[in-house]
Amino acid sequence: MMKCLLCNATLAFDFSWRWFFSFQIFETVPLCEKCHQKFIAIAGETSCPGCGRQQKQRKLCQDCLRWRKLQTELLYNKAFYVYAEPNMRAYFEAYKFQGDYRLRQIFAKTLQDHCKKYLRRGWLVVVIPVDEQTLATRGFDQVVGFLPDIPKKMYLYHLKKFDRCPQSHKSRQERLATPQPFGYRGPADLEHKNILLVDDIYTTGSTLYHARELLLAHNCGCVRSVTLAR
Amino acid sequence: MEKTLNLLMGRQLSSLQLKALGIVALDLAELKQRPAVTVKKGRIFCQRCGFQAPRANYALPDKSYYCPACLAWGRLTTTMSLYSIPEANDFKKYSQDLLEKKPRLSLWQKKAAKELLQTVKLKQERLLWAVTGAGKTEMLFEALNFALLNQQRVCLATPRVDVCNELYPRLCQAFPKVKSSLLYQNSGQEYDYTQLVVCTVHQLLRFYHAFDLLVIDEVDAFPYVNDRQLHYAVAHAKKINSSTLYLTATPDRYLKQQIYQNKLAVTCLPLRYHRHLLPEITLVKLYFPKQKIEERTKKYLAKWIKNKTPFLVFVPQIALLKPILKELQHLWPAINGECVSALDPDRLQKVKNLRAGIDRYLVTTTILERGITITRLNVMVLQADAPIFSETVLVQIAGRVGRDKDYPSGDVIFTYQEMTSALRAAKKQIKLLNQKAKQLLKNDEVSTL
Repeated sequence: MMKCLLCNATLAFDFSWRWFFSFQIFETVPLCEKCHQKFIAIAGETSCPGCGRQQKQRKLCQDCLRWRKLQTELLYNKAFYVYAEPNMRAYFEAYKFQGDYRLRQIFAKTLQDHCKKYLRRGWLVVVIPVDEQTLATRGFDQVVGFLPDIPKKMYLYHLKKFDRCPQSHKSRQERLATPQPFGYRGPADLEHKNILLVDDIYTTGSTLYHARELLLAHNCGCVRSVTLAR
Repeated sequence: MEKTLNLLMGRQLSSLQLKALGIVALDLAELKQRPAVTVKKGRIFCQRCGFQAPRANYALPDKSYYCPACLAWGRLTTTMSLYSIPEANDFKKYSQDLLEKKPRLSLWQKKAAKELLQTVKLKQERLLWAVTGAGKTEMLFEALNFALLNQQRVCLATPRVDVCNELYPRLCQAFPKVKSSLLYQNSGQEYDYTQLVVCTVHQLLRFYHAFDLLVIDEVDAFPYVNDRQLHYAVAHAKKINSSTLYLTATPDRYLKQQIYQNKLAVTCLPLRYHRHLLPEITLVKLYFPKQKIEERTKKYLAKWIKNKTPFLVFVPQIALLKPILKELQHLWPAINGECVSALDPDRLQKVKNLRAGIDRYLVTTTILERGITITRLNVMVLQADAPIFSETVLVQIAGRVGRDKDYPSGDVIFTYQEMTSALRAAKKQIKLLNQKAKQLLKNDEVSTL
């Protein structure tokens, strides 16, 4: 018997003939319909094309207009859910800060399906890492947790030189002003391969743009990103 | 050093929590260390909250396992340890009585208090089953006094924060010389080593073999009832050789079973302090489920409105609050009323308004089932056959009525369509208590003659 990981309600199995003849493993997300609807899904058609923010019309948001002045090309981030909303915040609080590792299963399918689309086209999936100290206390990398079946590349790592305070404790201005937090340990030449960056939350975009800067310096092709929340 | 002792005496904290509190030196001689989560035959067992389950679901990438049940208290994994220092009862020795003013107790209350005192002296367990409005807290004082005088560490725990907040000032008033603290989640108070602790049952998860006397008020209240984790917490917060007192007005099935099997000693007090019987329940069967307030129930409401007495209308769901309130306002537009639920931030103000007579009635969920005393109150429960109204809830609701010495009676109306076992049991329980009370009164008359 499967239970919803957020509200502990018993889940009804939805066996269908279609599934039966598909000869696939029975996959379900341990989340009930009620809890699922509490999260606000971002409609792809009207979101900001630059960062995936939820909007009424499809046009570049203020943040992305600023990024366009600074960068040659935007990241064209895909985001699935709204972050600035109590339910999503509560989810990340429980998953990342309380450390309930089971909760990764809730959104693993969403992110993996998206990554698979890119993998089929020969892209590489690169994960934004957590720093070692956090990894030691938390015991897991929240992004890697979302992608159990995806061949991920850990090309990036956190520089340990300066004592970094976590992104979530910084103000917007501080985040935009932070120097490059990552080091690169992948192959020296990426041979114009396209890369999909994966992170959990897109807030200002500075983390992802920093990561892209490094990858571009090592001769990669196009860089896009996907985050669970925006 | 001093700080470490203070923080850890009789408590259990993980190394991460200690680090967060600024304690790094873990080389004290008294310090006891035990694994936080153990694995046995493929099942994990959390030493703090007692959770156990097959380990596969709770694995971390580094092959350790964590307890999912007590994450809110800081995550524990198989690689971590719980640190504690055995309780040494390092308290001031008092020479004279700690009770400032002895409460005035009736004859039966005195008898019950004596039994409780005896239990504490012999380090046993006892259930005090006293009807709603019998003065349970006052009966405790004698026993608490004894324990505190003997340098025992004492804790009063209850499942409800509201009850905590009400108990704490009363205890401070009764024992002004004793150092005491009030603990609950987000109370804003920092933990301090005190002899007397008032807390919610959840806070007991942080204690380990700490208390010589543990009193649990409202044992039958949600969420303590049927919660394994909290029962485990209670069992481990007290010392191995300690006394436990359970207080309730409405023992649930499990407690009653224990009483009948002679596993739990009981002191029963079926009479209220003002020596009047509990108001009996009137059951009203309804035949038309669609109509919200029927003629047969309207009759009672009209009577209460005419007599200008306040009343509570209990409903089983939050969704029903608004429609019922609307209907009542439609029926009697001149009379003010409000609706209250657990989601309501100003529910205390609304209860105050009812007491002051600004509002004449409240439509409420079971949130107001206990801890409310209003003179001349009447209650009505709509759809009393709903599963949320269990036996204890129904008896508690009935216990809101007639708590005042000058107005010991009132109406308790339960409307239903189908008889449920909870309704039957509630009616039976009140009948039984009243029967016992009558007997007591009769004996009393004989003895005074």
